[in-house]
Amino acid sequence: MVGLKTVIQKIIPSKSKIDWMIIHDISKSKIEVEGIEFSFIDGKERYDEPFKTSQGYLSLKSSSAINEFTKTANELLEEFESNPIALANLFILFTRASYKGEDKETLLKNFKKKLGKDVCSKIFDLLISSLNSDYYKDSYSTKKPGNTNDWLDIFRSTQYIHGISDPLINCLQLVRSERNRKIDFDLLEKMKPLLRAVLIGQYGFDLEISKSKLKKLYHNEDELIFLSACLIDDSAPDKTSPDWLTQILIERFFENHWDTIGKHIFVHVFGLSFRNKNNNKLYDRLKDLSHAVLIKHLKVENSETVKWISQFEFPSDFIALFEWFSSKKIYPNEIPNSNRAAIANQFISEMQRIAKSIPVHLASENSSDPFTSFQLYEGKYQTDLAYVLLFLLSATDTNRKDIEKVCHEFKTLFYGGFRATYLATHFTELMLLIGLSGNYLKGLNKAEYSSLKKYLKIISDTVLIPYIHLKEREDEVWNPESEREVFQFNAGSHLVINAMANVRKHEIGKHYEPFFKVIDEVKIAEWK
Amino acid sequence: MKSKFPNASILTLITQTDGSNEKLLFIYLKTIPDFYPSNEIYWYDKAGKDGSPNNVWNKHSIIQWTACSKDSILLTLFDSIIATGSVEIDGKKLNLIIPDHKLVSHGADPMKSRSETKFDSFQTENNSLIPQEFYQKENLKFLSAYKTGSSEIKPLYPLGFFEDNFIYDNLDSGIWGIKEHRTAYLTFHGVRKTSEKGIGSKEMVGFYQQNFNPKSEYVAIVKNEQGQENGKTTIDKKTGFFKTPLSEPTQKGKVEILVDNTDEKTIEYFLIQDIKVNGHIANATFKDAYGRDFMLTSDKKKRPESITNFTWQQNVYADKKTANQKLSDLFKSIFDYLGPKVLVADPYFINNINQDNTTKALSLSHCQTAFINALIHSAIEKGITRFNILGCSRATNHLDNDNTGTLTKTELLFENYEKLFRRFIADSKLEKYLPPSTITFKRAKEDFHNRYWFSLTDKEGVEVLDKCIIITNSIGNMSELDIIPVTDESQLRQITRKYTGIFKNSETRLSI
Repeated sequence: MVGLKTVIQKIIPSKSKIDWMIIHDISKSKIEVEGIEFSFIDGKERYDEPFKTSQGYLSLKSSSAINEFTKTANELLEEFESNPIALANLFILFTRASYKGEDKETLLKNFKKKLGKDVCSKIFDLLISSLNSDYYKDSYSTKKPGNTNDWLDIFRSTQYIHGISDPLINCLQLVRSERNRKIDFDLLEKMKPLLRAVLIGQYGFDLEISKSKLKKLYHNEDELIFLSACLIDDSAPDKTSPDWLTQILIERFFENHWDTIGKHIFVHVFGLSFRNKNNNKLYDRLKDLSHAVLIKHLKVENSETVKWISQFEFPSDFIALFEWFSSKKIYPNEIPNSNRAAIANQFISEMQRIAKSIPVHLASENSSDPFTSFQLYEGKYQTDLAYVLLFLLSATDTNRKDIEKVCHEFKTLFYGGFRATYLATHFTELMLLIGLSGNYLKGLNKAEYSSLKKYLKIISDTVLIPYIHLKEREDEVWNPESEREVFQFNAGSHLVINAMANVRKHEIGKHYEPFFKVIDEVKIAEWK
Repeated sequence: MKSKFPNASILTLITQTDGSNEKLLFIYLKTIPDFYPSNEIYWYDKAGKDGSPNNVWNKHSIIQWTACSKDSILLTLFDSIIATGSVEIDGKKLNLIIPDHKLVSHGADPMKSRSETKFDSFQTENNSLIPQEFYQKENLKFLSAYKTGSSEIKPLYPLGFFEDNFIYDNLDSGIWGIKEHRTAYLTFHGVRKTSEKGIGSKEMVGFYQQNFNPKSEYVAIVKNEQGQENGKTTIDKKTGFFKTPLSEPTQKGKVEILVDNTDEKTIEYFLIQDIKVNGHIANATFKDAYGRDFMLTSDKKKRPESITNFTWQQNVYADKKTANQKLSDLFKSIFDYLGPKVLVADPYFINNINQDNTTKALSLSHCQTAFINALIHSAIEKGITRFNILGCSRATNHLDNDNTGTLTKTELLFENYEKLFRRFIADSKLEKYLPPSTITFKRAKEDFHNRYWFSLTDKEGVEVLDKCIIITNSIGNMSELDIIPVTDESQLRQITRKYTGIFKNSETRLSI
């Protein structure tokens, strides 16, 4: 053991920085001590190692070896007391020691006891600063996350990190003794995104934040983005709301950082996101708080709210918006006219934006679908379309002209090749499903019925004829004996066929007569 | 008669200015699925209206003119353009230079290529009017709107009007002009429920999309290979639907449509028996796609611990069926060895699945059948909990450009995969063995070129690639194949390192 001590005494002070491969250096001395062995698995480079190569282990084979090593450890701690880097490297060495009773953490406890809290915390800072630059540096991008979803992506990407004896977890042991999964924000503060993501995303630690710290964080956008992602990431059924989830926090998210945080959590909380499928208590609270903050804006008539609405994207933000209306029972007549008009206007601008992007979708190698039609079967999407109709019923003539222009742009795609027709079909199904949601709306007035007819006329005059003519060539339309297999890709046409049948049966059907008359003048198949 | 039944065509001319004349580079008259109410010719804005063309390529003075009108009116205009070498576009007269050519008429043959239409093509060998820049795939991609970002080339109008490579392929065959005639659309297929495996369909259903004359009678006749009548029925003019029992089960023959006893349309068919892979489980026995029975045993968990190198060559076996059975058994042994979580990494996924244009039936190549049969068998016998198929976009580009006449677009590729997998799972009642989300198609964000089949294992809750087999050929059209397990540790690590990265960065394209 004396020999080993001499080697360590020589190597450790020679290091001017943290060396995660310290075991390798020590083993190179070829020292042989009874009861002690070095092992490196295979020594080859591996993608799943934090530093590409295994850090190696120092195995203490017998109880006498353990005792002697503990004694040597104490001596070395005293010797390097005033040299933090040496202490940090010594700590790494101890974390790589493998011995019987390791889970009692004798070496580690001893280390902490000997050095005390302050020194441990200093060493922790040194180690974290080193991990910030070295941990998986070849495998993961170090791009700074710019919004909530960027953070969630990093969380997810770390799910592939798996380590036995992860140096990051070892470092945490220096500054915390709890064996639970809670972690104080202060410990994360100096960590770069990857380290934080491993702790939150992979190990599932829950954040704890003191009140005074939280107050400070309210003014720090980068940290607010991180906090929003921590909340959204907690989608498991048993997750509850942390005490730092406050109304002020949600106000900051929505009011000060809509682009980087607000719009993302809006979609995750209300819209189509796999994360909200579990409906846990945390998400319930997020819904309540979001509602409390957003409803104030929705009900106020001012340019700020109009500006806010003008940032909504279709379909994702609109699905979230209308799911919010639907789940929190917000009735359109509670919304000031200017905001209602802004919602209709924004839907139309989104259609115009998508129409402008047709060249991009046509040229896309991936079969890109700006309407994400494969999600049409989601109830939320269908709710969304019924609401769109409701808002379009108060559309102005200018609005209608704009819709008509967009329809004309998509109509000519029906004259083109496969990909063009594909886009035109998805657009038409969306417009049809909006128009065919009339049976979900109650208490419409005369002007609204007239508006509905005008909307349907736009569709009849533009995209309806080519759609009907091409669609009825599908087995499910012309063949009364068709098995009507439902696939992701034909969700739209299934819903259109069903919606047609439902509207015909419904009392509102009489307002659709001119529309169905046009179909009758085109269709050959039965369409039932 | 239907008053708004489609009757419209689009005429487009692509010309190159040559002094006071215009060289005609390409002319296309296409029937479209739309109704046009008047007899006027409408020249589109910025593509002929007021005599101003769509300036698609200023540098080479290449311009485009596009009009919409009734079929008959544009047919007349087309003929007059070719005959007189001139055209008046919204008040502007163009003198066209048209090459010497021959006219070829094509009957409606939906079994081949694109559409239900009849068309005439105008052909010139060594057409000297076509500038080199125009006869270039990349440039035509920009013109046809399948590529964006050119500072020089604007897309033709309407966007996406030409299929990808349509102009190039035609120019390649000397064709610079196409004139389509509208014909009725006919589709039909054997009734799946009553069809007998290996023998054929006993009933036929179909749809004739035509603006029916109320005074005429429309009859569909099914004939066998020898031309003898096998079934006959009147088409319901209210729905275009027809259904007829067949006096003998059929796989091959033709469907004729007679209007008042005169031929209007004929399509020859070969009825693909839709998805042929049809495993069958009954009384603890599994009957596979090759008709073999297997006892379902209880030692499910016992998987082979190793696998040996193997070379499979189709022609060394007595017959193709034996060869394909062997191939399927090989695949199964690999899945057994790799399972229950498998990753198939192949740039081409499992390749394109052929779909008949008329009947929409899917047909599988011998190795696709072998692959799916093996998947089913392994799922039943040893269990498969996840089956990922990882491909890349290079492959879908390749499939897009696949020039076999059938559409093999990316969209269609995944649609067909979805149909195929959902159907065989439903048909063979495999939901218990392959529950939802077991089979996933993933598209890599970067290109890769080799084919490897991996096992996936859990390491502390994280999925990692473990075992690896080199497969030297892609599913789709195998006639020979080497199977090589990777045993060298460092080689294995090198491969798994790269493919773990590709796998984890891939996007899920389809989940069955």
